[in-house]
Amino acid sequence: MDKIKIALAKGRLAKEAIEIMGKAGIEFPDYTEKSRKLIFHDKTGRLRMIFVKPWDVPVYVEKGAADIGIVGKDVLMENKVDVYEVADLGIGVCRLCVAGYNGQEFNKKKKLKIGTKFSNSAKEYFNKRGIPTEVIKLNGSVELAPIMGLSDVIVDIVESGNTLKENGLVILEEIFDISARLIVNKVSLKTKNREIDDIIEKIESVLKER
Amino acid sequence: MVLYKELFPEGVDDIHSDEYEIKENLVADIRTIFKSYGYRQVATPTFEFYDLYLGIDGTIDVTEMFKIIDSDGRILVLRPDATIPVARMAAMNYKHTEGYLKLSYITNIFRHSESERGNRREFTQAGIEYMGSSKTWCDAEVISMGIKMLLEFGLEDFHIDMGHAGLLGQLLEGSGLENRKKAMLCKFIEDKNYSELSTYLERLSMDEAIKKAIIKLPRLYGKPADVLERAEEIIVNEEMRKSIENLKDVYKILKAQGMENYILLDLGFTNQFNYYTGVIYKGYVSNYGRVLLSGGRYDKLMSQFGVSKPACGFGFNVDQLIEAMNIYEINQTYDCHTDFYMVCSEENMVKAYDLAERMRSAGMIVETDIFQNDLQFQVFNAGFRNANHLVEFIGDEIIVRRTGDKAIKTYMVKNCARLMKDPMEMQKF
Repeated sequence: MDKIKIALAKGRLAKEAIEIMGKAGIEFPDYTEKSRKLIFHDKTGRLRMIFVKPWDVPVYVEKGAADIGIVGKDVLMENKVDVYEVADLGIGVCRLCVAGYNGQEFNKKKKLKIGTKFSNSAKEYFNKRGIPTEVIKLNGSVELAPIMGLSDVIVDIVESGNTLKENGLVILEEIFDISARLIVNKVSLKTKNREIDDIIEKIESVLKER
Repeated sequence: MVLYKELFPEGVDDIHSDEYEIKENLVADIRTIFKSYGYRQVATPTFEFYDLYLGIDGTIDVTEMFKIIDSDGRILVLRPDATIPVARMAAMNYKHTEGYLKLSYITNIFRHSESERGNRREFTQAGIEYMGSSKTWCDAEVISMGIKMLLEFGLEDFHIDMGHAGLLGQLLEGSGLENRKKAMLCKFIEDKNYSELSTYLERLSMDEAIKKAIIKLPRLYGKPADVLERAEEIIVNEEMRKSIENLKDVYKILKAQGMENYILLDLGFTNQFNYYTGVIYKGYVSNYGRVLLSGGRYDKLMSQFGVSKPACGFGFNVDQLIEAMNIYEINQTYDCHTDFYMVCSEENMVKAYDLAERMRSAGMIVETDIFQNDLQFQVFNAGFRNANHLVEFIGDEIIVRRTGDKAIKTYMVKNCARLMKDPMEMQKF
């Protein structure tokens, strides 16, 4: 019952996070990238790693279904949860940007149509600047929206900017920087203090060496 | 087509009999403990004016309140918080009393919360408010009462995590920062977001000693003795020293009462959106990832209703308490049952009625039904009603069948007077 549960989202972020944990001496011997299992145990038997969807990591941690989670800042900004955000892992680095056609300007006269997966972040950003918006929630290939006339601009994660370029779009504004964060359930940090502090310390010492 | 009459809105639920018994028994225990400390139970209306909650500095988010439009167009709100209306009630009615007011409540709270997160939108909260004393003795008593209650309910592996609502404000007092920046710092401290806290601080120009203290603040949590020692490093003014001393004093009393094993400190509680002013606390149970109990001192709240009275209190979510107790399997399971299921034929109607009444006043649960040549149904129904005994009050005989082991006892109807004198006799086999 007192096991520490770590929630991760499968994909590149998980791969890097597992690498960091490995260097910190936290190893999951039966884990392979191709495995379709969703639960793995570490060699001490005290830790359990579970794989969930990126958007679900904060929910698992907030509710205490997992004690620790590793998740991108974009997810944390989009759906606010009540968790401790104890470390910036410095992996999965990218930016949330407003993108559109070169030279495009926003004005307050007409609602700006935004195609995005990140509707809350987009609204918050433009609301703060007093620019009225209409958000169209999309689930992928957001770049298509301005091309097909569905929206004026898009708000999306940009890593290299290649996808934008190939579709004739440019970054108009940067909203915030993104990297993976180590989040902890607010009760677990206190009730499983020794074990969790130990994990955080080990991970932080690996991060310092990088 | 979806039949909405058969469905529930999100966040509310039916409570069935067995479950309800468990909750009611717990509520009865809670009431007994509150009473034994001198708290007197009160109730406030289920809905009040929106203005009551809107006017209070830092309470519940307006988007979390259930609103109703009254017939004259005024906005009403379903009770989103218990402390505010109790404080309102106390302020209105006991304006000129200097004596202590100790009030308790066990009431339902209504809150909109983010959709599809598994949060209940109606839940039962139980709590106490101690008004009129600013002594640390009062804070300590309220906390130790919280601990006693959790122990009484059979929980052992829990902690009360104490902090001080004034600390951060006092630390930032001389910083000259605008409110928006203070709120950012609060958020980072509250979330123990060490990395963003230090990058944000780097960009701000302020006293280096204050900056250092801010960085340390969220890390000051854990065992009280250790935290209190390290707390010396962050004290930058007299006000802060007083707050730390205040925490120390409360802890000293709790320690003297043998409670130290249940106490933790976290000086990084920032109290950003609340009415608390002094010692604040949250109670956690291991393996249950949510805050079970929370409370603190709120010396300024009542002055918003025109009466200046120091006060403190705590509340906890009864439904979550039951969930936590379920994890440790300490809830007594309850099977609703009936002691005697009595079927009588028409000629015995009066005697059976009198006997049933007599048995009820002796403390037994008794159901009766009229016999209409339907013995097969009656046997089935006695089982369905979870009855321990089936009584056939038919013809000249009273046949008592114990359902568990099928034991049988027979009395004559003409001897019914004997049973009236000693109804317990029917339980003896």
